Amino acid sequence: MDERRHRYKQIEHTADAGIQVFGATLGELFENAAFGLFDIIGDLERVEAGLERAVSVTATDLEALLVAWLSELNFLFQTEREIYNEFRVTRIDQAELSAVVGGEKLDLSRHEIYTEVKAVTYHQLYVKQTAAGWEAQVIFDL
Amino acid sequence: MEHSTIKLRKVQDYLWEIPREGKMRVPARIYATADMIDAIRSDNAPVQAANVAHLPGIVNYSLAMPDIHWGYGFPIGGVAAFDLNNGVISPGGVGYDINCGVRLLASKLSRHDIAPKIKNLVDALFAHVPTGVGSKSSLRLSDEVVRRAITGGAAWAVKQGYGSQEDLEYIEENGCFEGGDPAVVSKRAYERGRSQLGTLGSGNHFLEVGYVSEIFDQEAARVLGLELDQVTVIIHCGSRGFGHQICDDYLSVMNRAVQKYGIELPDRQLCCAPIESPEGQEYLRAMRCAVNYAFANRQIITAWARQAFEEALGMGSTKIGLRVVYEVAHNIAKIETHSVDGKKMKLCVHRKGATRAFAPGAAEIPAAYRSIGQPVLIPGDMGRYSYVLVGSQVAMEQTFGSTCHGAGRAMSRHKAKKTARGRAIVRELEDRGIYVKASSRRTIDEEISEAYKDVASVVDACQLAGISKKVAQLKPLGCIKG
Repeated sequence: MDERRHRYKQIEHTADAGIQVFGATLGELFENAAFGLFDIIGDLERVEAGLERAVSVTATDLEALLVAWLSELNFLFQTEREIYNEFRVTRIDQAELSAVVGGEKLDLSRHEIYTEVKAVTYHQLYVKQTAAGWEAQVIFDL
Repeated sequence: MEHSTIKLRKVQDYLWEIPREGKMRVPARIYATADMIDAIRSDNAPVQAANVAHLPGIVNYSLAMPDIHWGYGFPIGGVAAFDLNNGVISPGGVGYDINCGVRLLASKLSRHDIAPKIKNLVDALFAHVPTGVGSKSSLRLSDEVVRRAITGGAAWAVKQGYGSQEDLEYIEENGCFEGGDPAVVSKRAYERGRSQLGTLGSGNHFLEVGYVSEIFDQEAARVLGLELDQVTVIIHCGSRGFGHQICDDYLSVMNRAVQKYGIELPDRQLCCAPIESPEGQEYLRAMRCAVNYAFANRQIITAWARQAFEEALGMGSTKIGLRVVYEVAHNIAKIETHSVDGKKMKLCVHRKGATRAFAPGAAEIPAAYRSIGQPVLIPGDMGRYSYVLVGSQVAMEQTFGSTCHGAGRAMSRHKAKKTARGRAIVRELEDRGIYVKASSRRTIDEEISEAYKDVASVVDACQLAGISKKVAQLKPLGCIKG
């Protein structure tokens, strides 16, 4: 897996977990954030590609768009029982995102799931442009 | 407000205050011992308590219980009451896991009766009660059935054959919160809720078999029917994805409402709406549905726990006698009447990681317990102990009838995992007579005792401050987790 595409680090938080994410472009930032979310949920090494799903979300601003995107993926994980490790943003602007995500159906005999993410929070949330590209932070309620 | 600028002054023993400054409408007050206050100060939580004090219509103080820690917007351990006329309601003041709560069951068995069979018992519980991420309930519910569950709560579950009418008497609101409206619940909440009714979930949620290890108040214990060595069961869980989704949905609604009503906030996660506004009322109706979902959830799990006991011990239900002692909610908003400056006032009390602790005599307490005060159930970590307390008059006067809710984490999950690395935690616990079974080893590592503060110090702080009184301590024998 291309390292550059998954630049993020987990943030230490006493009760929950968060990620700080980087990307050269906005699309890459959102892809990396999604990877960070699923890396917290389970062991992605054992997820095989195969299944693809188109996802699109809208919001009023970039930060809300990030929350909407990650919430949508968590919702799909919980209701469709699908786990993803590939994320390709095909279109993104301030208020709208379209993407194709890849992964497979959850199989508890094969996939190790670490934790449930209750929600993607607005707490200490930011999305900002930096000299190197884009940076964001998001905290999950576990 | 940065935490370095927070001023905390001692008001009296076990009570600290952040004085009003800037746009705070009232001071913030934190209940804690002198030993605890440094750790509390180093966290962001006091800033959050001060932030809550900015909200319109807040009455008296923004309060925090001794188990205060960093949350989202509101601190965990936070209590805030708002005037119905000009106050607000905030989904962040309730939390994502709406009506996360604790139910205590007591049996007719002594710990010596089950000691030889504890492994069978825990295995049977694990087989009956779905735990962990992605676990599916054996129930498959249509939206119509979900609608009935979220308006009927535990009472609905009893009608479906899960437990008995008597159980309902010992649950806050008798297990059914009136005023839930399924029409204001999103399709997504239904989708998340459909397959999770009757599941524990993951993280710090658990079902524990234990025993009464110490009694502090003989009379209260007698009234609650608790005696030394008696086998007990604690169920700690909430409204699952259904409640998480409702919180999420209404945070979006409230984000817009904040602009509509021109409410100035120090933190976006505190978003709220006037209680009497359409947005506020709609959230209250949706929240009540999630409250009922959690009531139904714990009722169904109780029924399965009873089955597991019968199977594993080979005894009938009468001999086992697992009855509901009480059930509390620790993430909830309720309209309650409290005395403010000598006048009765209707308030919207938010308790986020805090438990109602009404004084003896309150009409909300089951008749059988009214003489001793409302039972309060405080779970600890999986290796140490939990507590049964009762509410007090001091709580009525100072904290809108509220007290603490648990231990609170001392370590991040990451640090806990590091601490557990190379150790066989399940084995360590077994050597101490506690048999633990979880869906994932990682959960056990993240939930090691050391990762939590000692709940005894939290409970002692509440007793010293007078906001509740210790009745009994319970120690674990076995536990199932996510």
